[in-house]
Amino acid sequence: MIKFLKKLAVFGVIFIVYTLSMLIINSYIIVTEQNNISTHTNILIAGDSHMQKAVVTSEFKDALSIAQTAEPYHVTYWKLKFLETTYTYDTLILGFSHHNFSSFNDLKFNDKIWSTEMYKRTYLTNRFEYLSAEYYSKNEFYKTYFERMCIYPNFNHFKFMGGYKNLDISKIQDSQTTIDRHFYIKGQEAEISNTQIAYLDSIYEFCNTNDIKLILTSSPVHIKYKNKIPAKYLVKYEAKKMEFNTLNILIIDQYKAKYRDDEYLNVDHLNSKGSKRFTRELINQLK
Amino acid sequence: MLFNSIEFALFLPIVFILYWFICHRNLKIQNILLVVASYIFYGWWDWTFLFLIIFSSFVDYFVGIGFSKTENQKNRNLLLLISVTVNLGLLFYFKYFNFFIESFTEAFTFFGHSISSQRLNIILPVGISFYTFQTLSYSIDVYKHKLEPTKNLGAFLAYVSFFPQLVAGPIERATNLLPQFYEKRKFEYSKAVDGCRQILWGLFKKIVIADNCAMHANDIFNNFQDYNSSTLILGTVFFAFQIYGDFSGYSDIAIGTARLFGFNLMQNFSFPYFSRDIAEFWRRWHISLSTWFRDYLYIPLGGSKGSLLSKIRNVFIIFIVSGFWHGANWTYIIWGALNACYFLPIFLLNKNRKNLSFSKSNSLLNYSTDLVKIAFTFSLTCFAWIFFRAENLNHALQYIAGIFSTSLIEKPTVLPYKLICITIIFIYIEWITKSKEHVLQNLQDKISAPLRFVIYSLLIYSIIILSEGEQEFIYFQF
Repeated sequence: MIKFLKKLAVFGVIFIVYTLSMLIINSYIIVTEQNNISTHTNILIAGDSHMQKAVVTSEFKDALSIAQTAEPYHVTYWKLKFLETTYTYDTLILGFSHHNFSSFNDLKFNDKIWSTEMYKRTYLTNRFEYLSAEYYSKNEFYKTYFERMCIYPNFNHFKFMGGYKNLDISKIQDSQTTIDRHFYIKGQEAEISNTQIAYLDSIYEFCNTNDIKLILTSSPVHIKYKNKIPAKYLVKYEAKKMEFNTLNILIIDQYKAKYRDDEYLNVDHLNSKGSKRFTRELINQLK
Repeated sequence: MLFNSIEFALFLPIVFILYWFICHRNLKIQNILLVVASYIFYGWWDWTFLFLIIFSSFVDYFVGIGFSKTENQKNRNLLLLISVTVNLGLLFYFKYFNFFIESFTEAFTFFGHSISSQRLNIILPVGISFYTFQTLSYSIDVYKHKLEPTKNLGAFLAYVSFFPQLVAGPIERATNLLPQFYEKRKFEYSKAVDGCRQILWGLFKKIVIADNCAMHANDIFNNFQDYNSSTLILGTVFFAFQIYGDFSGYSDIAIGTARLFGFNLMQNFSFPYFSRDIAEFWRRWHISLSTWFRDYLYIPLGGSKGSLLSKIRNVFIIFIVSGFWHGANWTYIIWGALNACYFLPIFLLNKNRKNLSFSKSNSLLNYSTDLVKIAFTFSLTCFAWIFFRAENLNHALQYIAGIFSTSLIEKPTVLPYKLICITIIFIYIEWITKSKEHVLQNLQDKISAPLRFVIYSLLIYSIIILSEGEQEFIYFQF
């Protein structure tokens, strides 16, 4: 009996010591990686894939993109808060499109396709305590945290930093699939998300508090996509634009801009050719 | 209390310490501890149903006492009748009452006589099918003079309610388990270590394989209209591994836990998906139930003796009753009948005892022939699982119609590569260890201590990382 308990205890102790060592090692890696990030840029670019693919950071004198695919506003806000103490910038260019208001964004942590990736991106930055419990799973978060922090030395903790990524191809296909994904949930038109709007306002407040100039921008979308955006999103978008205008926020609204087909990657994203044009136009408007 | 819960992770060490350190000097107290622990374990779901187990246990205990006092056949028959009526009566009331009411109503309506009926709001007590069969085995064995009736109430209550196997088996025979409560248990290091390994492997099967397969199987079965044929086939394969991982995982945890307390429970699964024919499958799947039906139903009916017609009748009875045992739904009856149809040709050709153990031949031809047979048997099993998993017959038939559609050659729309890879690795590990009782048995013979440590750690890590929350065991509903 004593031998059994001893062996069980030894196994338990080694297991726990190893797990804790990995936690310490990974915490150290995080601190080191955080120190390696440049501490200041003039411009920070944030948002989802629309911004990630539309804004070429190298075209700016001093800019950094943290935009990532499928990123809802609450995740962007978490990232900004996480970087708050270590990273400074004068201007934040934030993606601002119709689909950003859709409640499909609220489901990213429950969505079969996106949830695993979302937890992997946010295990360091999350502020789930402020999010409605129905939108995430604590179990999934702890699992991801354990996997990324407690098993092996992980050198990829800052996956959430994102950055400009694009391709040189053009595939304008059926826009309905994209429209369905952005504006419909199980065949029903998705509600406008109060959570996303609240977090957009929080980003505005964050910028205000930290003396950061906020610029909202939308990249061009193909006419096939544009024509199918549900009416209530168009109305809400315009209302929000007016609201931000009264707050003296610069809005560079390019979603109606006419780009050639070969400048689109697909119906709602620019390709590398289109992104260069868009970035040049953006820089001109900022001057 | 679920085996895969935090509560059980705390409950087990507490009972273990009390059992071996506080109560180890007195057998009676040890048995009482097991009874109390088992009642806490069961009462965690719903304490009101505890009365049912206690009632069932007392009925069979006193029936046993009655047997010990009389050799008069009439009286013995009456005592057996009391036990069978009470146990099956409870089972009938809680599990089958509504089914019969609905079926009669439907039958009358079908023949043009509309009658009104009212369903009773009955909750099925967890594990009722398991412990009623276990207590029945005691009464029948005592009746047949295979076992001395017990006067030791503590031992008998512990036998009926023994928490590792109370809610989902293995359904133990009184002849095997009850005598173990009479003898002082000695702690055996090797047995305890093996128990821990079996628990670990059981948790892996349940949490990593079953729960992850369940996610996709449930999605595909619930939304089968949205998926193409190849996805529906994949859905049945996922369900096959879900139910195997779930149930055999539970059995492994139960057997392993029992070993920690010095008990030996019977093996309940023996790598059934490597069976080369359906007869072999049924010798390897839910062994405790198959042998229960064999001993207490099939053989008393005449078994394989008698005319061809009675042989066929007996085969159908045992499979249909076995299906019906799983649940009060026509889908289970069809599932049973389908298995009877699979089994009958082999049985009639007298080939049902052909594949008694795994082939040891290494020749390529034998190997390939076996693989083809295994694949064929697995396909038949998966087809039958559709009825087992479906909500009703209509659901099953529509699902099958979906499989046999033009989209058969299309790529599945659900292709979880990670899960498929894990399942393939799982199958490979089970294949290379199929001669053992469980995968991690006697691991120390071939693998050094540091490597064993790595294996255990990997299993624990994968259980943590790949868990899908606390998922119930499928067989709890039976």
